[in-house]
Amino acid sequence: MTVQSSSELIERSLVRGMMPRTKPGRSYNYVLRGVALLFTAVLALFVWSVLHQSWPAWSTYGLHIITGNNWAPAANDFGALPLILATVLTAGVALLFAVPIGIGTALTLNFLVPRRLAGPLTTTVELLAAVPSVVYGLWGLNVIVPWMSTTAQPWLASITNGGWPFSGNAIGLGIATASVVLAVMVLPTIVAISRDVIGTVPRDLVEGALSLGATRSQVLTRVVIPNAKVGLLGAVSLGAGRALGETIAVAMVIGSSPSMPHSLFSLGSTLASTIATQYTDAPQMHMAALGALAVILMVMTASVNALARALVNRGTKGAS
Amino acid sequence: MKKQMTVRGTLAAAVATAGLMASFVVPAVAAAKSVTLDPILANDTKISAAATVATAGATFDTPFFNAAFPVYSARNSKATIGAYGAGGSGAGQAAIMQNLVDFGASDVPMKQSDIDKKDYSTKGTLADYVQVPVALGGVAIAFHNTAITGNKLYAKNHFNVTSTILAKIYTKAITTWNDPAICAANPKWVGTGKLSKTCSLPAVNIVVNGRSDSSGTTYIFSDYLHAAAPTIFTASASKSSLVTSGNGFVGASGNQGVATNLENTNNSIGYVEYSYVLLNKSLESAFVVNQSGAAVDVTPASIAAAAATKPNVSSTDFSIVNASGMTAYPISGYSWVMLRKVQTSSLAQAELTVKLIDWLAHNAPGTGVTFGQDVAASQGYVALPVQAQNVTRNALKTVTYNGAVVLK
Repeated sequence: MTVQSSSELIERSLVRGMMPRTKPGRSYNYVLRGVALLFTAVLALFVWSVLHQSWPAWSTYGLHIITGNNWAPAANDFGALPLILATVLTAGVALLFAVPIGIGTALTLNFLVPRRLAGPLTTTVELLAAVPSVVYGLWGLNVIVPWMSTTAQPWLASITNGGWPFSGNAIGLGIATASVVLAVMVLPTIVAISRDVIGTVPRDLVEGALSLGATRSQVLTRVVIPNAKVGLLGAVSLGAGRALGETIAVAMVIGSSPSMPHSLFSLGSTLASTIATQYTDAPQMHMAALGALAVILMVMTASVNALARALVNRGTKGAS
Repeated sequence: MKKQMTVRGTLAAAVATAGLMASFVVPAVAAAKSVTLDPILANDTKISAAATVATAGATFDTPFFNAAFPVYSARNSKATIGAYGAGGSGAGQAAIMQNLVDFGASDVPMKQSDIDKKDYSTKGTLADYVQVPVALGGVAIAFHNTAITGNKLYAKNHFNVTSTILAKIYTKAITTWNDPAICAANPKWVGTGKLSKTCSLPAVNIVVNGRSDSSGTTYIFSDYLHAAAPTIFTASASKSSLVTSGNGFVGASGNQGVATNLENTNNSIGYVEYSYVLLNKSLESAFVVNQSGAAVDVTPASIAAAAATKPNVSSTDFSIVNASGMTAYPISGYSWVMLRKVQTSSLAQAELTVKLIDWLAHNAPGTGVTFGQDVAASQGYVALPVQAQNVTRNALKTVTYNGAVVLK
């Protein structure tokens, strides 16, 4: 709904702007190009400086940074595999919860909740998306961690009888807790965007399907979701980006231990949380290794984006 | 421990009020007592113009500075002291090297090698800095184990650790609470019957906690482990994290981070600056068996006893860990502040920086006037020995602005 109305506004203002249709001024043209160029230059400079900072680490350790399984700065050993795995694991488990719940909530807000209630609920969700991550971290540390260690983890461990993936010391901190906090953090982002995207599915299609005798669930799964697929993928990839890069909230609840994750109860340390806790007093090679972590994180988030884009492209091709 | 805490709380409040009141009654008190303030101390809260200082560094000092800065500000209306940036010793050193603060705090004095590691254009050399001790404290071995503290034996018998036990815990050679070595150090927890010589300590795994950031507290702790058990803890003293991929310890940023994890986690052990044991009420501290074989609790008196074994500290010879003597707490250490030897911003700012540090590092018993070390004592630190106060004073007298000594 909001998307439509804002695009209408843009259209109208464009029409108004076109009325006296004169040649755009030369200076105006230069300014626009200049701004675009400046942005590209800043971006390039940013990528270059991170690469430059991390270069000593890459040239000394090479791919050992990615494949090595021991992160021990004091011993000058920089193997980031445990950090990479913890990052992927926490973000993955978080999305496993957040995606179905998020899209389900968005569908509910669009189709099931009376309009009078949907407005305030939507605003609440959008407000949650703006809560700073350190607040989620504090909440995680003071509420979720004790709850996990006394209630959730013993229960989960009893399901598998202490076996994988709920094995190990259940002390509240760790991968599982970080995943729960991350799921709660990315949920508002996914709900807010999915709701907007689902709102753009033409009402005619929905009403047409209903008039042909489709049930409500058939309409949702066969008409609404396929039509909103591209946008939903965008919502998920934004959520994934936030989950992969989240720093402070994760650092507070994951146990900050760069060990190999063996189960969901393992302690861990993600790429972003390691950078945040160790940069203050890192000697040069350690600093370069932290730069290398930043590069790995950038590549990971970029590939999530690229993957989403590829899926979208394939999806649109299949549809046409 | 528990009783002391409430006393300390009220003391802190009393000191704060005393500080506020002292600003009005100083002349009267000084006249009434026979002991008079030395002239520099009397002028510590007077500066020539309004000025603001910024500070950052070790979390070891946070409770001290957070309590002391308001007391100083209340007595010096021209002074504005920004909130203490508690980012760790490493952050304190980095901040002063970058000229971001007027003084930085670190649990370990800065070395030339620390400066060499950085590439800030403003870093200079070690000779450009003055480093002085401002706080004396201990690193408590804090633990959270409800099976031990809930046992009726605990009320009478504390829980002991030795340097060997700690070194083995932090090298993963000891992993359970009822390890024979721990039982041996706690004889009263072992049954005395002819047949039942069982150890009643719980048979559960130890959750080992440490700092994930670069930390002066870790430095003092590892300095102690290496000094007292060099064959087991072979690595020398370092600020680097003891939490690595191999050992699976729990890491956290800052003393409070470790304290929070300990509070949240049963069966855990870790090390935090002593005042954090006072601030976090559910934490208990273990008694540490010192070089002389005595099990010593971490208290202001036992830390002072350790400091007394080495009265003349300097920024190059500062370690007081593993002190001998029946009453000395072996994991003690000074915290330092670093400032620029040549001050450049303004005269008032230089005065405020130097006088604030001088005020922080002194007390004046018998004069009735509250100084920094009185506030420190109310926060679970130990007042600096007189020799250490003199070390600070003499070093501060070398700080200049425009070629002239600032503190006089």
